[in-house]
Parts: sequence; C-alpha cells; structure tokens
Amino acid sequence: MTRTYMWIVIIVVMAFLGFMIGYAVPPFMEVGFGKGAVTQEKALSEEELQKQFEELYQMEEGGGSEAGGGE
Amino acid sequence: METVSKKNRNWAFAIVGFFVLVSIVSYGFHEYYVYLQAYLWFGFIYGMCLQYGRFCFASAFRDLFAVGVPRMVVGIMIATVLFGFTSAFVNATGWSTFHPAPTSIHAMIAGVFFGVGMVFAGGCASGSLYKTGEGNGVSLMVILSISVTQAIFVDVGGFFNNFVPQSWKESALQKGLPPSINVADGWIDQYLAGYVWNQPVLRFAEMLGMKTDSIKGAFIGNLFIGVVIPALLLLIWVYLFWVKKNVVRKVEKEGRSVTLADHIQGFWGMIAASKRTALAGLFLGIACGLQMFVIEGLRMKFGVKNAGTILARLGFDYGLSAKGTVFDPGYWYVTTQEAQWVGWTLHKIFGWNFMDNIFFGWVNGIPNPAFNPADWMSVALIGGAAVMALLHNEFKFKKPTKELAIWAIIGGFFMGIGSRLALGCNVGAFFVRTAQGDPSGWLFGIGMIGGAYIGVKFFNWWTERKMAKEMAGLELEL
Repeated sequence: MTRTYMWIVIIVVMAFLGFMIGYAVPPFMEVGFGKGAVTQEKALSEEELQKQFEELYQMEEGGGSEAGGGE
Repeated sequence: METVSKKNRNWAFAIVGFFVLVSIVSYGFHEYYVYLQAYLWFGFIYGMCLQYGRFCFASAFRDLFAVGVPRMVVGIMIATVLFGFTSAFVNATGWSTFHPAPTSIHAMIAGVFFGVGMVFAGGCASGSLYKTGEGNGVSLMVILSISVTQAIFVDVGGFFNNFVPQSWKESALQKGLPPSINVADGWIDQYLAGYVWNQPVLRFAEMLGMKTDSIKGAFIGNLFIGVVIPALLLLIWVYLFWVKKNVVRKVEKEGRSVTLADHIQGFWGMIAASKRTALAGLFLGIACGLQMFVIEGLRMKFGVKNAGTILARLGFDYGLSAKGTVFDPGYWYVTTQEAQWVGWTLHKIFGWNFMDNIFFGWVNGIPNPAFNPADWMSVALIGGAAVMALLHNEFKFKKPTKELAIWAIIGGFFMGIGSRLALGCNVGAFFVRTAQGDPSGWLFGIGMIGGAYIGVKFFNWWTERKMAKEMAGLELEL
C-alpha cells in the first residue's frame, strides 16, 4: 500500500509540475531555445538598472515624480 | 515495503491536500501566483528527496571524521556531479537563473564558521529543514537560531563598526547607495559593499576563456573542470584516508598483494555504497535544473525580472527593497528566506528598522512571509519531507532535551554567521555554486570541511570531558 500512496503523491506533484512547465515552455518557444544569451544582452545591465533606480529614487526624493504632482 | 498506518497516511494526504488547496485557491485569485507555486512544488520535491536520501552535510562530515564512515560524503559528491550535469544543460541554453558569487578567501572563512556550527547543531541548513519535517524539535530550534542570528547579524552596527577596516568603509561609501541605506553603520553593510562586492565574480568557464552559455563552456569549463575534477579529487582523498585501509586489509586476508585493480574495485564499491543518497541527488539535480528553467520561463511569461514586481502588481508592496525587489533566486536556497521571516516579524512586532541595511533594504526586502516565494519553498520543503517520513513510518515528534537545545542554538548561531558571510549556506553557497562551476562554492566547501573537522574534535573533547566528570562523580558516590 505504501507504494500506492507514494505514487498518488508523485502523480499530484507531477501534475502541478506539468502545469508549471506548460506555463514556462511557450515563452521559450517564442524566443527560441539556446538564445538566452542573445536576449539577455539586449536586457538592461546591472549598471543601467542601478542608474535607472537611482534616477527614480532622486525623482521621488525631490518630489518631482508624476505621482507627487511634479508637473 | 512496510505497511503505513492509517494515521500516517491521513496526515500525509492532509499535507499534500493543503498544498494543492493553496495552489488552486491562489491561482483562482490571480495567475501570478503560479510563480509562487513553482517555488512551492519544487520545495516539496526537495523535501521528499532530502528525506529519502538523508541528505545532510553535518551527518556526512561528522560520520567521516568521527567514525570513518564515508557513505554520505560520497553520496553528496555524486549528487553534486549529477546536479552539475543538469545545470550544464540549463547553462548551455543561456537561461540559467544562477548568479555566481564573488570569489575570495571570505568564502572559506565563512565555511569554517558554518562547518563548526553544523556539527554542533547536528544538522546543516537543509538537513535541519527536512529533519523538522520528520518531527525533530531540535532541528526546529536550529532553524530558529539560524534565522534569528542572521536577521540580527546583518543589522548590527554601533560598537561593531569599530571592527570595520577603514578601507572597507571608504570603499562602501563610494558605492553610491541611496541615503535610505545607511552603509556607514553596520558591519555587514561595510563588509558587503566595501569588501565582497570588490571581489571577482567568475566561473571556471570564464577563467578558461570560454562562455558559460556555450556548450563548450558549460560542459567542459564548468562541469568537467569545475565540478567533476574537484569532486573526483575529493573522492580520491576520502578513499585514500578512510577506505583504502579496509581494501588493503581485505585483500591481504586473501593472501595476495594489492593491485591497482583492487583499488579501482574498492573505489567503485565506495561509490556504489551511497546509492540512496546518490539517487536522491540525481532527482535533486534534475529538480534544481528544472526549477531554473521554469522560473526563467515564468519571468518571461509575466515580463518580470524579479518577484518583487509580481508582488507589487498583486498589491503587496510592503517590505520590498529600495530597488523594488525581493529575494527571488530562481533556484534552491535555504537561509536568506529564514532571515527574512524573522526580519519581517521583528519589524512588525518591535518596529525594528531593517530596511536601512543592504541585505534587507537594498537586496532582499522583508515581504510578508505569506507572500514570500522563497518562504513558500521552505515551508513546502518541510511538508515534502514530512509526507515522505509519514509514508515510510519515519515520522516522530522528538522533544529537544535542554542540552541538545543549547547545542542547537549555538550551532545555529555559527551557521547563521557563516551563511551571511558567504551569502548562502551548504545549499546556496556550496551545493548550488559548485554544481554551476562557481569556484567560490569550492572555497566555501574547503572551509566547511575544515570547520566540521574542528567541530567534531571539539565535540569529542567535550563529550570525553563530560563523561570523565560523570565517572568521577560515580566513583565518589561508591
């Protein structure tokens, strides 16, 4: 019986895993496998990202954000 | 196979049912919860694998140094190689979520702290989680100790600032962190921004002039040079120091001299003896690789780089870091989320401001544990281990004795310090990093082995001293 119970648990886990893989695979199909590096190069670098956050931060500090009614 | 009791079966299904319910209900609220569910179900798998393979680094090195049994160490090394193999596939596609850590001597020092701590506590960070799932109260205390230590350690400043070298302080101030992060006050802040961030971040593939996201770099640079060879050297070391003498004795009993074939056979016998841990390691490796793949796919699907964006979109923007991020490694991790839940609790109950330090305020945040992806992983890991233990009649509540509780707290303290110095534990700083070809993982591992050796020697001395005292007391009574 223990084996049966184990299989029930494994099937439940596999079902959820399959569901999540179903979510994750289509984006890869769109971009293409093995092209991660190419796409990643297009993404913002850490430095660029940090600069962007700093600018956002300065805008908030200075009360110049759109939400703060700067315009 | 032993028959499982009705009570155990019901509890096991109740735990699985709870996670199923959480998944379905949360998905009903919003599709974004799939991201958190990915952490949950992979955590559940890790828990099952850990319990099945008795995957504990503390037991591994304690057994080796104290009684000369290499089974678990060998199993862990095999698991690391197998994980390295699945990781190489993911790395070759260029879709790995892994970020290598800065490499320097700090990883080794941190490993020493961690190694001492895990032997004192009787369980490493991941081992304590799965043992908690088996109903072990001491392991739960270890987790609490690691969690509290980390949360406090990353925020200590004041008097401890006196122990910060001037060069670290100056370098940290030059990093241009926002004023909300008080980098000049806090030992860990200045250690991170003033020292760790200045260290080189590379992998074996890059050290050899290859690209990690190429087949050559992933399989030759990172896997073969960075994982297989170091693991093989470690296994040879274990064979020479602990197994060889048994092989020689056995062959000499047969009345012949030892040949190279005998050693190869003995070496293979050592590997084959760790079948259960290795099998668990194989599934762990596959699951770890698959988690990286799934998380990266979900990030693309939802157009995010970090779960902080998802939490903000769901309306949970409390506790996000200054960058709008939360701890979202995209792979298996243990200790950072433990620090987070203590950070969140202390912040909520006592108003302790944790958001002015780098660890919480700039990088990981302190989101509500109920919506923290990595926390879902740890809770599910305990649940997965509990299900496995229940279905194998291995679940038992064990109340900690006073003595074991003290060791758990001391051990957890050292592991907490080691984890924060290394930016990870035996999983995040060793198992995952080594398998990805990150040299800092091996530096941590060397330190951890050294620390475990010191811990075992100290523990033996302490036990002998205690026994001698007790014996002396008995003699006096007689």
